Amino acid sequence: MYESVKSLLTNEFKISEDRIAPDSTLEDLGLDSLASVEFALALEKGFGVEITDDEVVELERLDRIVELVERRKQAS
Amino acid sequence: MDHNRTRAAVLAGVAGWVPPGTVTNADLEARLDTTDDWIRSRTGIAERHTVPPGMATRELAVEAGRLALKSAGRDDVDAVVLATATPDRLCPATAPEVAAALGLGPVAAHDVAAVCAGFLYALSAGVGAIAAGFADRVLVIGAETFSAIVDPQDRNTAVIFGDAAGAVVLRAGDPDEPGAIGPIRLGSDGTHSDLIQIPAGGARQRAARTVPEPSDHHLQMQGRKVYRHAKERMAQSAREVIERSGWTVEDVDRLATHQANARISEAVADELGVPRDRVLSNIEHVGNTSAASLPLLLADSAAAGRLRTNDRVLLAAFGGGLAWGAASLTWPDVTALAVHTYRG
Repeated sequence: MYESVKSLLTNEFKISEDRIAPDSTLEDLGLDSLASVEFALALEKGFGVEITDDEVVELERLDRIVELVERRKQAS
Repeated sequence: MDHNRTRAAVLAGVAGWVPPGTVTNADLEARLDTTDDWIRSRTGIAERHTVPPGMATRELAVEAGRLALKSAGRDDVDAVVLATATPDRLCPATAPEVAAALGLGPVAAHDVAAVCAGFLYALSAGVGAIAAGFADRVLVIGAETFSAIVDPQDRNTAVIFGDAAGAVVLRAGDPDEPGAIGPIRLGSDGTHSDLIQIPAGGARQRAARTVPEPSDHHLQMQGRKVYRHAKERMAQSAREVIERSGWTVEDVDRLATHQANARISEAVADELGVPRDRVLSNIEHVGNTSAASLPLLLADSAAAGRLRTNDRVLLAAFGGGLAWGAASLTWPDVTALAVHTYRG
Protein backbone atom coordinates (compact mmCIF):
# COMPACT_ATOMS: atom_id res chain seq x y z
CA MET A 1 0.00 0.00 0.00
CA TYR A 2 2.81 2.41 0.91
CA GLU A 3 4.43 1.87 -2.47
CA SER A 4 1.11 2.47 -4.26
CA VAL A 5 0.57 5.73 -2.41
CA LYS A 6 4.14 6.68 -3.17
CA SER A 7 3.65 6.15 -6.90
CA LEU A 8 0.43 8.16 -6.72
CA LEU A 9 2.45 11.02 -5.24
CA THR A 10 5.15 10.78 -7.91
CA ASN A 11 2.76 10.33 -10.84
CA GLU A 12 -0.14 12.62 -10.00
CA PHE A 13 1.52 15.17 -7.74
CA LYS A 14 4.92 15.23 -9.49
CA ILE A 15 6.81 14.82 -6.21
CA SER A 16 10.29 13.37 -6.71
CA GLU A 17 10.84 9.97 -5.09
CA ASP A 18 13.75 11.07 -2.94
CA ARG A 19 11.47 13.53 -1.14
CA ILE A 20 9.06 10.79 -0.08
CA ALA A 21 9.63 8.82 3.13
CA PRO A 22 7.25 7.11 5.57
CA ASP A 23 7.70 9.91 8.09
CA SER A 24 7.26 12.71 5.51
CA THR A 25 4.69 15.29 6.53
CA LEU A 26 2.36 17.02 4.09
CA GLU A 27 4.58 20.07 4.45
CA ASP A 28 7.71 18.01 3.64
CA LEU A 29 5.94 16.84 0.50
CA GLY A 30 5.07 20.41 -0.46
CA LEU A 31 1.33 19.75 -0.19
CA ASP A 32 -0.44 22.91 0.97
CA SER A 33 -4.05 23.02 2.19
CA LEU A 34 -5.69 22.77 -1.23
CA ALA A 35 -3.23 20.12 -2.39
CA SER A 36 -4.11 18.08 0.71
CA VAL A 37 -7.73 18.05 -0.50
CA GLU A 38 -6.52 16.85 -3.89
CA PHE A 39 -4.50 14.16 -2.11
CA ALA A 40 -7.58 12.98 -0.18
CA LEU A 41 -9.60 12.91 -3.42
CA ALA A 42 -6.85 10.96 -5.19
CA LEU A 43 -6.70 8.41 -2.34
CA GLU A 44 -10.48 7.97 -2.54
CA LYS A 45 -10.38 7.49 -6.30
CA GLY A 46 -7.26 5.33 -6.32
CA PHE A 47 -8.15 2.97 -3.49
CA GLY A 48 -11.96 3.07 -3.40
CA VAL A 49 -12.18 4.30 0.20
CA GLU A 50 -13.74 7.31 1.85
CA ILE A 51 -11.24 9.67 3.39
CA THR A 52 -11.74 13.32 4.26
CA ASP A 53 -9.28 16.17 3.87
CA ASP A 54 -9.60 16.79 7.63
CA GLU A 55 -8.31 13.27 8.28
CA VAL A 56 -5.41 13.71 5.89
CA VAL A 57 -4.47 17.04 7.48
CA GLU A 58 -4.81 15.74 11.05
CA LEU A 59 -2.77 12.57 10.44
CA GLU A 60 -0.18 14.74 8.70
CA ARG A 61 2.43 11.98 8.25
CA LEU A 62 2.46 9.75 5.19
CA ASP A 63 2.80 6.44 7.13
CA ARG A 64 -0.24 7.32 9.27
CA ILE A 65 -2.26 8.29 6.22
CA VAL A 66 -1.32 5.01 4.51
CA GLU A 67 -2.34 3.14 7.65
CA LEU A 68 -5.78 4.78 7.58
CA VAL A 69 -6.25 3.94 3.90
CA GLU A 70 -5.35 0.32 4.69
CA ARG A 71 -7.82 0.19 7.59
CA ARG A 72 -10.60 1.66 5.46
CA LYS A 73 -9.88 -0.71 2.64
CA GLN A 74 -10.05 -3.73 4.95
CA ALA A 75 -13.30 -2.49 6.47
CA SER A 76 -14.97 -2.04 3.09
CA MET B 1 -37.15 20.31 -21.54
CA ASP B 2 -34.46 22.11 -23.45
CA HIS B 3 -35.31 20.56 -26.80
CA ASN B 4 -38.88 21.90 -26.64
CA ARG B 5 -37.78 25.49 -26.52
CA THR B 6 -38.58 27.36 -29.69
CA ARG B 7 -37.94 30.81 -28.29
CA ALA B 8 -34.41 31.25 -27.01
CA ALA B 9 -32.68 33.93 -24.97
CA VAL B 10 -29.75 35.31 -26.94
CA LEU B 11 -26.80 37.17 -25.46
CA ALA B 12 -26.92 40.61 -27.12
CA GLY B 13 -24.60 42.66 -24.93
CA VAL B 14 -21.92 42.08 -22.29
CA ALA B 15 -19.92 44.35 -20.02
CA GLY B 16 -17.79 44.53 -16.89
CA TRP B 17 -16.93 47.34 -14.53
CA VAL B 18 -14.20 47.31 -11.89
CA PRO B 19 -14.00 50.08 -9.26
CA PRO B 20 -10.94 52.28 -8.71
CA GLY B 21 -9.59 51.20 -5.29
CA THR B 22 -6.68 48.77 -5.61
CA VAL B 23 -5.41 46.35 -2.96
CA THR B 24 -2.20 44.61 -4.07
CA ASN B 25 -0.60 41.61 -2.40
CA ALA B 26 2.08 43.98 -1.12
CA ASP B 27 -0.66 46.02 0.61
CA LEU B 28 -1.89 42.84 2.32
CA GLU B 29 1.64 41.80 3.32
CA ALA B 30 1.88 45.06 5.22
CA ARG B 31 -1.12 44.33 7.46
CA LEU B 32 -1.59 40.55 7.53
CA ASP B 33 0.53 37.49 8.22
CA THR B 34 0.83 36.63 4.54
CA THR B 35 3.14 36.99 1.55
CA ASP B 36 2.77 37.72 -2.14
CA ASP B 37 4.11 34.24 -2.90
CA TRP B 38 1.67 32.55 -0.52
CA ILE B 39 -1.31 34.37 -2.05
CA ARG B 40 -0.24 33.83 -5.66
CA SER B 41 0.59 30.14 -5.26
CA ARG B 42 -2.67 29.33 -3.48
CA THR B 43 -5.11 31.58 -5.33
CA GLY B 44 -3.49 33.04 -8.47
CA ILE B 45 -4.50 36.53 -7.30
CA ALA B 46 -2.18 39.57 -7.52
CA GLU B 47 -4.65 42.39 -6.89
CA ARG B 48 -8.30 43.03 -6.11
CA HIS B 49 -10.38 46.22 -6.24
CA THR B 50 -12.67 48.06 -3.89
CA VAL B 51 -15.37 50.68 -4.06
CA PRO B 52 -14.57 54.24 -2.98
CA PRO B 53 -16.52 55.78 -0.06
CA GLY B 54 -20.14 56.45 -1.00
CA MET B 55 -20.34 53.63 -3.53
CA ALA B 56 -21.92 50.20 -3.00
CA THR B 57 -23.66 47.47 -4.96
CA ARG B 58 -26.27 49.71 -6.61
CA GLU B 59 -23.67 51.96 -8.21
CA LEU B 60 -21.55 49.00 -9.32
CA ALA B 61 -24.61 47.37 -10.89
CA VAL B 62 -25.63 50.60 -12.61
CA GLU B 63 -22.17 51.08 -14.16
CA ALA B 64 -22.05 47.52 -15.54
CA GLY B 65 -25.72 47.65 -16.56
CA ARG B 66 -25.26 50.88 -18.48
CA LEU B 67 -22.26 49.46 -20.34
CA ALA B 68 -24.11 46.22 -21.16
CA LEU B 69 -27.04 48.18 -22.62
CA LYS B 70 -24.55 50.18 -24.70
CA SER B 71 -22.92 46.94 -25.82
CA ALA B 72 -26.35 45.66 -26.89
CA GLY B 73 -27.06 48.89 -28.77
CA ARG B 74 -30.46 49.48 -27.12
CA ASP B 75 -31.36 50.95 -23.76
CA ASP B 76 -34.75 49.35 -23.16
CA VAL B 77 -35.47 46.08 -21.34
CA ASP B 78 -38.55 44.45 -19.79
CA ALA B 79 -36.85 43.14 -16.68
CA VAL B 80 -33.75 43.53 -14.51
CA VAL B 81 -32.35 40.60 -12.56
CA LEU B 82 -29.53 41.38 -10.14
CA ALA B 83 -27.42 38.59 -8.68
CA THR B 84 -25.77 39.70 -5.47
CA ALA B 85 -24.78 38.39 -2.05
CA THR B 86 -24.15 41.96 -0.94
CA PRO B 87 -27.40 43.85 -1.50
CA ASP B 88 -27.34 47.46 -0.32
CA ARG B 89 -29.92 46.57 2.34
CA LEU B 90 -31.43 43.30 3.60
CA CYS B 91 -34.76 44.73 2.50
CA PRO B 92 -35.81 45.79 -0.12
CA ALA B 93 -34.04 44.28 -3.12
CA THR B 94 -31.43 46.41 -4.87
CA ALA B 95 -32.57 45.66 -8.44
CA PRO B 96 -35.53 48.14 -8.47
CA GLU B 97 -33.16 50.97 -7.54
CA VAL B 98 -30.78 49.86 -10.28
CA ALA B 99 -33.60 49.84 -12.83
CA ALA B 100 -34.70 53.32 -11.70
CA ALA B 101 -31.16 54.71 -11.79
CA LEU B 102 -30.73 53.36 -15.33
CA GLY B 103 -33.98 55.10 -16.37
CA LEU B 104 -35.57 51.85 -17.46
CA GLY B 105 -39.05 52.75 -16.24
CA PRO B 106 -41.37 50.60 -14.14
CA VAL B 107 -39.96 47.27 -15.33
CA ALA B 108 -39.88 44.02 -13.38
CA ALA B 109 -36.81 43.98 -11.15
CA HIS B 110 -35.62 41.55 -8.52
CA ASP B 111 -32.51 40.24 -6.79
CA VAL B 112 -31.20 36.70 -6.86
CA ALA B 113 -29.23 35.38 -3.88
CA ALA B 114 -27.00 32.46 -4.80
CA VAL B 115 -23.63 33.94 -3.81
CA CYS B 116 -20.88 32.93 -6.26
CA ALA B 117 -23.31 30.90 -8.40
CA GLY B 118 -25.63 33.91 -8.48
CA PHE B 119 -24.98 34.93 -12.06
CA LEU B 120 -26.00 31.53 -13.47
CA TYR B 121 -29.13 31.53 -11.32
CA ALA B 122 -29.96 35.07 -12.50
CA LEU B 123 -29.22 34.05 -16.08
CA SER B 124 -31.68 31.18 -15.75
CA ALA B 125 -34.33 33.62 -14.49
CA GLY B 126 -33.72 35.84 -17.54
CA VAL B 127 -33.78 32.88 -19.91
CA GLY B 128 -36.98 31.65 -18.28
CA ALA B 129 -38.71 35.03 -18.59
CA ILE B 130 -37.90 35.18 -22.29
CA ALA B 131 -38.75 31.52 -22.97
CA ALA B 132 -42.10 31.93 -21.20
CA GLY B 133 -42.84 35.00 -23.27
CA PHE B 134 -43.29 37.55 -20.50
CA ALA B 135 -40.16 39.45 -21.45
CA ASP B 136 -38.43 40.15 -24.76
CA ARG B 137 -35.31 41.76 -23.31
CA VAL B 138 -33.73 41.22 -19.90
CA LEU B 139 -30.75 42.88 -18.23
CA VAL B 140 -28.93 40.34 -16.04
CA ILE B 141 -26.35 41.84 -13.67
CA GLY B 142 -23.95 40.40 -11.13
CA ALA B 143 -22.63 43.02 -8.70
CA GLU B 144 -20.79 42.62 -5.41
CA THR B 145 -19.31 44.80 -2.68
CA PHE B 146 -17.47 42.10 -0.78
CA SER B 147 -15.15 44.68 0.78
CA ALA B 148 -18.16 45.54 2.95
CA ILE B 149 -18.54 42.01 4.37
CA VAL B 150 -15.00 40.64 4.42
CA ASP B 151 -13.04 40.94 7.67
CA PRO B 152 -9.92 42.89 6.64
CA GLN B 153 -7.96 40.98 9.31
CA ASP B 154 -9.00 37.51 8.09
CA ARG B 155 -6.16 36.37 5.88
CA ASN B 156 -8.22 33.51 4.48
CA THR B 157 -10.86 35.75 2.92
CA ALA B 158 -9.28 39.22 2.74
CA VAL B 159 -6.76 38.03 0.16
CA ILE B 160 -9.41 36.51 -2.09
CA PHE B 161 -12.42 38.77 -2.55
CA GLY B 162 -12.85 41.97 -4.55
CA ASP B 163 -15.61 44.34 -5.63
CA ALA B 164 -16.87 44.50 -9.24
CA ALA B 165 -19.87 44.16 -11.50
CA GLY B 166 -20.63 42.45 -14.78
CA ALA B 167 -23.77 42.32 -16.89
CA VAL B 168 -25.34 40.83 -19.98
CA VAL B 169 -28.38 41.78 -22.04
CA LEU B 170 -30.57 38.91 -23.22
CA ARG B 171 -33.04 39.26 -26.10
CA ALA B 172 -35.60 36.88 -27.57
CA GLY B 173 -34.22 35.01 -30.55
CA ASP B 174 -33.71 31.70 -32.25
CA PRO B 175 -32.21 28.65 -30.48
CA ASP B 176 -29.82 28.05 -33.37
CA GLU B 177 -28.27 31.49 -33.61
CA PRO B 178 -24.90 32.35 -32.00
CA GLY B 179 -25.41 33.74 -28.52
CA ALA B 180 -28.46 31.57 -27.75
CA ILE B 181 -28.14 30.38 -24.16
CA GLY B 182 -28.11 26.58 -24.31
CA PRO B 183 -28.83 24.06 -21.56
CA ILE B 184 -28.51 25.28 -17.97
CA ARG B 185 -28.01 22.98 -14.99
CA LEU B 186 -28.40 24.31 -11.45
CA GLY B 187 -28.05 22.57 -8.10
CA SER B 188 -27.87 23.18 -4.37
CA ASP B 189 -27.03 21.43 -1.11
CA GLY B 190 -28.29 23.28 1.94
CA THR B 191 -26.87 20.68 4.32
CA HIS B 192 -23.55 22.51 3.90
CA SER B 193 -24.90 26.04 4.31
CA ASP B 194 -22.32 26.73 7.03
CA LEU B 195 -19.30 26.37 4.75
CA ILE B 196 -19.71 29.91 3.38
CA GLN B 197 -21.79 32.22 5.56
CA ILE B 198 -22.32 35.49 7.37
CA PRO B 199 -23.82 34.18 10.63
CA ALA B 200 -25.24 37.46 11.95
CA GLY B 201 -27.70 40.03 10.67
CA GLY B 202 -30.33 37.70 9.25
CA ALA B 203 -33.63 36.63 10.74
CA ARG B 204 -32.18 33.49 12.35
CA GLN B 205 -29.72 35.33 14.54
CA ARG B 206 -32.14 38.19 15.23
CA ALA B 207 -35.01 35.86 16.12
CA ALA B 208 -32.74 33.98 18.53
CA ARG B 209 -32.09 37.35 20.22
CA THR B 210 -28.48 36.40 20.75
CA VAL B 211 -25.66 38.91 20.78
CA PRO B 212 -23.42 38.02 17.87
CA GLU B 213 -19.64 38.02 17.99
CA PRO B 214 -18.14 40.85 15.91
CA SER B 215 -16.69 38.23 13.54
CA ASP B 216 -20.21 36.87 12.93
CA HIS B 217 -20.97 39.98 10.88
CA HIS B 218 -18.23 39.05 8.44
CA LEU B 219 -18.01 36.43 5.72
CA GLN B 220 -16.74 33.10 7.05
CA MET B 221 -15.48 30.40 4.73
CA GLN B 222 -14.08 26.88 5.23
CA GLY B 223 -11.74 26.86 2.27
CA ARG B 224 -10.68 23.22 2.08
CA LYS B 225 -14.19 21.82 2.27
CA VAL B 226 -15.41 24.38 -0.26
CA TYR B 227 -12.63 23.39 -2.65
CA ARG B 228 -13.64 19.74 -2.61
CA HIS B 229 -17.34 20.43 -3.18
CA ALA B 230 -16.57 23.09 -5.79
CA LYS B 231 -14.46 20.84 -7.92
CA GLU B 232 -16.86 17.91 -7.86
CA ARG B 233 -20.07 19.92 -8.33
CA MET B 234 -18.79 22.17 -11.10
CA ALA B 235 -17.30 19.24 -13.01
CA GLN B 236 -20.50 17.21 -12.69
CA SER B 237 -22.86 19.99 -13.80
CA ALA B 238 -20.48 20.95 -16.61
CA ARG B 239 -20.48 17.36 -17.87
CA GLU B 240 -24.28 17.35 -17.90
CA VAL B 241 -24.37 20.60 -19.86
CA ILE B 242 -21.82 19.29 -22.39
CA GLU B 243 -24.01 16.24 -22.94
CA ARG B 244 -27.26 18.20 -23.18
CA SER B 245 -25.60 20.59 -25.64
CA GLY B 246 -24.81 17.64 -27.90
CA TRP B 247 -21.10 18.42 -27.52
CA THR B 248 -18.10 16.39 -26.50
CA VAL B 249 -15.35 17.75 -24.24
CA GLU B 250 -13.24 18.36 -27.37
CA ASP B 251 -15.94 20.74 -28.66
CA VAL B 252 -15.43 23.12 -25.73
CA ASP B 253 -13.37 26.02 -27.13
CA ARG B 254 -13.45 28.05 -23.93
CA LEU B 255 -14.13 27.10 -20.32
CA ALA B 256 -15.27 30.01 -18.15
CA THR B 257 -15.48 29.06 -14.50
CA HIS B 258 -16.38 31.31 -11.60
CA GLN B 259 -13.10 32.97 -10.63
CA ALA B 260 -12.90 31.67 -7.07
CA ASN B 261 -9.34 30.50 -7.14
CA ALA B 262 -7.09 29.76 -10.12
CA ARG B 263 -6.40 26.28 -8.77
CA ILE B 264 -10.08 25.36 -8.60
CA SER B 265 -10.53 26.46 -12.21
CA GLU B 266 -7.54 24.37 -13.29
CA ALA B 267 -8.72 21.39 -11.25
CA VAL B 268 -12.16 21.55 -12.90
CA ALA B 269 -10.56 21.81 -16.35
CA ASP B 270 -8.31 18.81 -15.61
CA GLU B 271 -11.22 16.82 -14.23
CA LEU B 272 -13.25 17.50 -17.40
CA GLY B 273 -10.28 16.99 -19.72
CA VAL B 274 -10.39 20.54 -21.12
CA PRO B 275 -6.85 21.68 -22.04
CA ARG B 276 -5.55 24.46 -19.80
CA ASP B 277 -5.01 26.82 -22.76
CA ARG B 278 -8.79 26.88 -23.28
CA VAL B 279 -9.47 28.06 -19.75
CA LEU B 280 -10.38 31.76 -19.44
CA SER B 281 -8.99 33.63 -16.46
CA ASN B 282 -8.86 37.16 -15.08
CA ILE B 283 -8.57 36.33 -11.37
CA GLU B 284 -5.00 37.65 -11.20
CA HIS B 285 -6.29 41.21 -11.61
CA VAL B 286 -9.72 41.16 -9.95
CA GLY B 287 -9.77 38.35 -7.35
CA ASN B 288 -12.99 36.52 -6.53
CA THR B 289 -15.88 38.89 -7.31
CA SER B 290 -18.65 36.37 -6.52
CA ALA B 291 -21.76 36.95 -8.68
CA ALA B 292 -19.91 39.52 -10.80
CA SER B 293 -17.21 37.02 -11.67
CA LEU B 294 -18.61 35.24 -14.75
CA PRO B 295 -19.99 38.23 -16.70
CA LEU B 296 -16.82 40.19 -15.88
CA LEU B 297 -14.70 37.25 -17.09
CA LEU B 298 -16.69 37.03 -20.32
CA ALA B 299 -16.41 40.78 -20.92
CA ASP B 300 -12.68 40.88 -20.16
CA SER B 301 -11.96 37.81 -22.28
CA ALA B 302 -13.99 39.02 -25.27
CA ALA B 303 -12.46 42.51 -25.07
CA ALA B 304 -8.97 40.96 -24.98
CA GLY B 305 -9.67 38.71 -27.99
CA ARG B 306 -9.50 35.52 -25.91
CA LEU B 307 -13.16 34.83 -26.67
CA ARG B 308 -14.22 35.06 -30.32
CA THR B 309 -17.40 34.81 -32.35
CA ASN B 310 -18.56 31.18 -32.73
CA ASP B 311 -16.41 29.89 -29.86
CA ARG B 312 -18.30 27.20 -27.95
CA VAL B 313 -18.26 28.38 -24.35
CA LEU B 314 -18.90 26.32 -21.22
CA LEU B 315 -19.76 28.25 -18.05
CA ALA B 316 -19.59 26.83 -14.52
CA ALA B 317 -19.93 28.36 -11.07
CA PHE B 318 -20.07 27.30 -7.44
CA GLY B 319 -20.55 29.08 -4.15
CA GLY B 320 -22.29 29.48 -0.82
CA GLY B 321 -25.63 27.79 -0.28
CA LEU B 322 -24.15 25.55 -1.40
CA ALA B 323 -25.30 26.46 -4.89
CA TRP B 324 -23.78 25.73 -8.27
CA GLY B 325 -24.51 25.52 -11.95
CA ALA B 326 -23.30 25.29 -15.52
CA ALA B 327 -24.49 26.55 -18.90
CA SER B 328 -23.33 26.69 -22.50
CA LEU B 329 -23.53 29.03 -25.43
CA THR B 330 -21.88 29.73 -28.76
CA TRP B 331 -20.29 33.14 -28.49
CA PRO B 332 -22.09 35.78 -30.60
CA ASP B 333 -20.72 38.68 -32.62
CA VAL B 334 -20.88 41.22 -29.82
CA THR B 335 -18.77 44.20 -28.77
CA ALA B 336 -17.80 43.59 -25.15
CA LEU B 337 -17.18 46.63 -22.97
CA ALA B 338 -14.80 46.09 -20.06
CA VAL B 339 -13.93 49.13 -17.95
CA HIS B 340 -11.29 48.76 -15.26
CA THR B 341 -11.35 52.23 -13.72
CA TYR B 342 -8.14 51.69 -11.75
CA ARG B 343 -6.22 51.54 -14.99
CA GLY B 344 -7.18 55.18 -15.54
